[in-house]
Amino acid sequence: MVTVSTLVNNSVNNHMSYGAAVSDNKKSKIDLNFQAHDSKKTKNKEGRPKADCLVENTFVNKMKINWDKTTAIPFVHFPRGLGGAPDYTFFEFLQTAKFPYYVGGPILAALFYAGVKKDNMIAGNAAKNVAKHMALGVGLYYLGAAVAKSIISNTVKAARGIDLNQPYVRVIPTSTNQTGVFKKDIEYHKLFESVDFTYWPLLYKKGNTPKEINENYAKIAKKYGIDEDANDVDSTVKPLIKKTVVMARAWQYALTAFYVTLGIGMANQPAWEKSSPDGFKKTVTEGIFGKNVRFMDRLHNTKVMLYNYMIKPFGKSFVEFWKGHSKASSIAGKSVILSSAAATLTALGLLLGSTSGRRHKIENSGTNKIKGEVKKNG
Amino acid sequence: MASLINSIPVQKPQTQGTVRPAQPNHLSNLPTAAVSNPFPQVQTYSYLPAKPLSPGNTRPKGVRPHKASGHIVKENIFESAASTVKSYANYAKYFYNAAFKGEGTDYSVGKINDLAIRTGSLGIAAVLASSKFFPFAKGMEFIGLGTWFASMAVWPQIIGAAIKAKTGVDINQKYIDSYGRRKFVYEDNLYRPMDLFRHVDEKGRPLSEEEYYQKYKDDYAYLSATADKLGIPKNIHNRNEAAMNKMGQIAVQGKTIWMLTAGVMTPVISSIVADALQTPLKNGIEKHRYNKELKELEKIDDALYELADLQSPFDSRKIETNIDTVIEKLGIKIPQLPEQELNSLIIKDCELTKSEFDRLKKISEENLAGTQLKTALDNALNNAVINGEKVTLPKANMPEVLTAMQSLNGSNVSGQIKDELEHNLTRAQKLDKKEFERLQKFIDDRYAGTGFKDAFDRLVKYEMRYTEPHITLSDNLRDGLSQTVKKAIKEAVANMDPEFAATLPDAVTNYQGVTQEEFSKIISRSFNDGAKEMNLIANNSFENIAKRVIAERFANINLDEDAVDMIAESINKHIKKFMNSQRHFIIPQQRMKDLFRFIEANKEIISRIEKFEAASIMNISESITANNWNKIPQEYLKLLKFTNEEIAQIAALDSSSASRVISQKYEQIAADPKQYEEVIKKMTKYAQKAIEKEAKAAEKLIGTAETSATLSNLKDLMSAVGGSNFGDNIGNPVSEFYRTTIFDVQNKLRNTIDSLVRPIKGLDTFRNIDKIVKDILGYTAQEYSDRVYGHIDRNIKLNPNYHMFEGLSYEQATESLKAYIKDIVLDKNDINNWTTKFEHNIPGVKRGLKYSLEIVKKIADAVNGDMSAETEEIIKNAFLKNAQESIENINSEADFAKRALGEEFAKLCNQNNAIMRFRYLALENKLTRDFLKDERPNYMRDYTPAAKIIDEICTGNNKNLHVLEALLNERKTEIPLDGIAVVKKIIQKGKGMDVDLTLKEIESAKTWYLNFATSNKAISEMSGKNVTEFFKNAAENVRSRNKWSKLAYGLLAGTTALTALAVALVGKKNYFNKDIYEYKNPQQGAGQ
Repeated sequence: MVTVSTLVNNSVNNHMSYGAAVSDNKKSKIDLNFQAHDSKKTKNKEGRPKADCLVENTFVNKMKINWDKTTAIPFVHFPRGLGGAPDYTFFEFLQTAKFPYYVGGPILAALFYAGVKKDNMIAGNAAKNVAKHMALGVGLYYLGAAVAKSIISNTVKAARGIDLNQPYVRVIPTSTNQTGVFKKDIEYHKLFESVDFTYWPLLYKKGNTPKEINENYAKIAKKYGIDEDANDVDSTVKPLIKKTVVMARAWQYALTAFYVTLGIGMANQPAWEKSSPDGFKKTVTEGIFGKNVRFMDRLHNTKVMLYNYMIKPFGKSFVEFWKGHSKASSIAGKSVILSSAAATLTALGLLLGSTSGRRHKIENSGTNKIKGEVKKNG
Repeated sequence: MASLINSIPVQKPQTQGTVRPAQPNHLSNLPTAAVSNPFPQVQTYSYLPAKPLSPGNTRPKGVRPHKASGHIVKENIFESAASTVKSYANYAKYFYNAAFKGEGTDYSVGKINDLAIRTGSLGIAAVLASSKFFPFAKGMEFIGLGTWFASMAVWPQIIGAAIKAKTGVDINQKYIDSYGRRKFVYEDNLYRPMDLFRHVDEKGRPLSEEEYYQKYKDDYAYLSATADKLGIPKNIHNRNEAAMNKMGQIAVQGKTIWMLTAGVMTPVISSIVADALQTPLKNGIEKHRYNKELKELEKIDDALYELADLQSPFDSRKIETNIDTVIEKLGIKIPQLPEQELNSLIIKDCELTKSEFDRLKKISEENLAGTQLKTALDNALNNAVINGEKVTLPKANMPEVLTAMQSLNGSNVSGQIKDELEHNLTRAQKLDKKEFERLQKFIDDRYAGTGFKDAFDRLVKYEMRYTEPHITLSDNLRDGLSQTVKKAIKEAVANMDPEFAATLPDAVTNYQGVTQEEFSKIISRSFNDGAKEMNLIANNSFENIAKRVIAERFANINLDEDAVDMIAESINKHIKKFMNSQRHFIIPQQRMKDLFRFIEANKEIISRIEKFEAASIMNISESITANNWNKIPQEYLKLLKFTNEEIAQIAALDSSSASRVISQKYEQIAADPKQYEEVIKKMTKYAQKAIEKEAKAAEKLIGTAETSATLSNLKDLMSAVGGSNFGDNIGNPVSEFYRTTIFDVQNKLRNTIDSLVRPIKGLDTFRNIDKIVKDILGYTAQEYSDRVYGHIDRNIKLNPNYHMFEGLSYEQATESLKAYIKDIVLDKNDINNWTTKFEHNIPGVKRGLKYSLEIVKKIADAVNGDMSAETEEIIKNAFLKNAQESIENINSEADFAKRALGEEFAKLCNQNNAIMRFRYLALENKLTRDFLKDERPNYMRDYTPAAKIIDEICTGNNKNLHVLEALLNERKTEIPLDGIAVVKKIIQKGKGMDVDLTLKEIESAKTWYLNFATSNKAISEMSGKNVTEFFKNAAENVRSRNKWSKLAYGLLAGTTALTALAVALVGKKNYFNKDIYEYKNPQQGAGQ
């Protein structure tokens, strides 16, 4: 494993290719490939980064990344894939693999709805309710998945300082391929998407001393409860990060299974049948965004929209799911709710408990304090 | 890791004492300066080789690379399924390691996601299934899940197969890497595991090294074979790599096509496959459920035969009437909780005075030694709560005490003691008004809508003692009465004018209540000595006497008349109120509990029978009936060959427009004898099959005209048990309940038969419509005029609203009547629509048009009469293979059986028609109702269809005997048993051509046993669906199905075509793949 101290001590000058490195800091003793780049200074004319770099995980950036990634699916990845581009990556395949999920759900719903009887009034109303439950089911399914993911990622972020969703830009060399690259220069990845090949170097900061360089790792280490003067704080904390990421991912997937079931179960309750989609539409279009509505009324209508159309049926559907309308459904509802709660608590307990640095043996001999050596050498 | 690297002693300096032999060319032997430094600007470090600490152990172990052991997977479908199952077990292991230990790799974490998606989907299916009430709906949730994942798995295989057929490249090829992980060869386009193909034969089968070299000289036989197939030139450098690259291109293209189409194909294939699986699943579940519930039903039957000798004639039956035995034999478990609940409702704490308590103790010691009561009573007395002068026996102990008291009846305990005990202890079962209402509410809630509430009501109603409010004659009563009267007089005085009130005598203003003497006087005048309680009647006299006695004190005082009135009124009011408050209800604890047990037992047994009904004949999702109704009407619709537009019209338009569309189709079929025969035959087949299933289930419950079955046996048993334990008052509602249940089953079957037969009969009517109309209106204009207007004064102009033929010529009338009858057949089958029904409002024709009776009779025959001879013959031959076959030229046994089946069904049709005719005619409407009491009834009253049949039979004409039988069977729950016996006698004598019947019997049979007007049900309830409704329902189903098929198959065809197009272009030279090769011989290359 590459660590700062071995790099310094052995003065390895190995150009490992994590994309194109930019040598703008000639004074540093550390290979520039192992340092993060300042994304602002290294953008090309089109505003694209010239080298691999972290992107701040803000809402605006997230939206931009999602937009770029989503539009790239039909305009970049599919044309390249259909052509069989020789430099087509696994990442691109994974991006195209999202497309069936966007299309499949609505088509399944359309097929289901087409087969429902709508000709007489009773059947028509029943069909409307079926459609509503389906739409709600899709909505609450995604809500459940999002909630499950965010429970874990927020916990990990707060407790260990690791942002599972930390994006980074990978710059694709465009000059290496004989066929040229079709509309493709960067890929957006997540820093912790791989536990085997985590892009560790991006977490190193630019600087001259290991302390400066290791700043990010030191911060994370502190969250793990590891003393600052632990041997090679970066290499000490990396296995712990790996452990945390593996555990967090496993629980994200597991909790998703629980929460989507909960979401579908709640969407299926009669609580939602009481309010009509037309009423909701009217409240939004005429009540909140309509013309000539007093501000206080808009406020009131917003409250109505949020409370009467969302929070109230949501809470009610939870209670209905818990109670059930038959013995079987009551058992199912209770067991889904209870097991979701139990799984969440287990996940949080394990993530907070067993990843802590205090539970692991940390080398802290004080004999290998790189701080002093670098000073002497520098 | 860091500590490991640091612990390797690369820089451990050599100690002085160690002597090592000089080694030539070893770095340590060279002078430091001799090691040239190519980068002088970088600080150099002196390097001395490390001295091994223990030479034997320094050779690193396990670091040497393993020999690559990855290999191509070739599995058949079963092996592949087995390895899938196995891999899921591994995924669970991965989850455990990752979630609990934080150990894992990208591969294993990715697999956890797969596992979670599958588990989550199963969870969703389970939750959705649990919200469904019926097994088929539950099953479909899982079928949907299964087909979804199956189609997700199958679609890439289909694309893969197409691409393999075209290019020879299997894009779904899997391999197992050196770590034992299963992966796709083309998973990552930038990773080309070419070594995998080293020892693979030309067809792609992996071989062992020995096998391979026996067959081939060079490695990569597969790659060069594929290169040939892909048309890669032979004479180029690195041909195998070129092949591998081409394969990569094809795989990327194939996988992209897969991802482009999977979103459409997965739901489409899933939907189509799930749809195809519906029928087998439905049939399987239907059969399984029916057989399961049938077994339960047969268990009840067995128990019934043990309990009652039900085969013998009704009068001489021996029936077990002990409730406990019945409950035990039938295996009924009565829930414990409601009984406790009931106990707490009918028994309360027993309040005693201290002296009463002591007295009870004494009685228990002296008089009850050795009795059952003593144990129970002592138990209650020991648990008593003593609070000064008040003693409470807790209600938990009272049920036993009260039960044990009944055992005193035969004992030698003296009557006086018994009375005393009863007086004191039965207080526990005297409910005040509120408590009584609570009990009633409990019964109402528990038995509302079950038909059993009546039994409790009757227990309460007919056994006066238990409903009538009782008032105990006690000191409390006296004190209360005294206070009430005092209060009443005070109030009366307070309401008077104060000046006037001041003039009242002291005896009034200072009244101190009823004295002991006065009270004794009231008691002695109202009751016999020793009375302790009064009932409602005694209560009234008590009130009157009390008022009189109270008034006696004021008799000698001269009072103003108004004042007397006011005082009397106030006393009246207050005494009434007081007495009401003193009432309580004595509940027959044991009888109540017995009845409760008996009714619960009935409820339980009926719930078991309902399970059988739910699986077979009930109008509930997934029953046999429901499944038939989902299927048969659509088959009928198909038979009539409606176009899609017509189906849309029938489904979406109002029923009269829909019936017009159906009418056109019916006319068209009726006009073509060949098509007519075909349609009738097929309809017969569908109807017979559907009815047979239901009839079988119904027969299990209610038997036939001759045999009894579960429900009728239960009815006999339970009414006997009820009657013998509680008297007929309570036995009757129970028997009534079973009769209703039987009637419902019978009615359900009738409904199905009628619904399925009516479209057939409708076609029959359409075919013979000309003859029918001519028969009614006459064959000539003169005949028409004579019949319709013959007996009325033509100077009176009839209102066309009242008379449908008013002002119409013969031709017009014919058309009008045709349309009218068609309308009855298809849409309205009720005689209430008869348009001449108000004709008796015409001045001078109060009895109505005489010929109206004839018209109604003939229409009834046309719409609900026997099938025409032609149609009947078609039905009888419906099950024979060849259309030309008839009774004359069939000879095999199987064919006779088929013909018999047809004959049986024809009979069923005609019986159904006959019953419907009776229901149609005997309705409570203005034609048949005797509403003009003072005048002569109208002509319709003269017509009794049953009389006609019975008269026929009596004169030896047995043509309509089967009709009579069917009618009798239809009414078997509505007429008393002896009534059935009478009519059976008529039938039997009719069969024997014996006309020697008593007139009285015939009369009663005519007038009410077979008078369907007495069954007070609307025809819509008593008959099946009308034809329009029947087809409308089917059209709605067909239309939604058509919409689905259009979408599903449209998407399937479109996406398949696009996929085929894309697959055809796979592997070709294009923008991304220029196919530039380096030829070994440039000249040759230029030539190509």
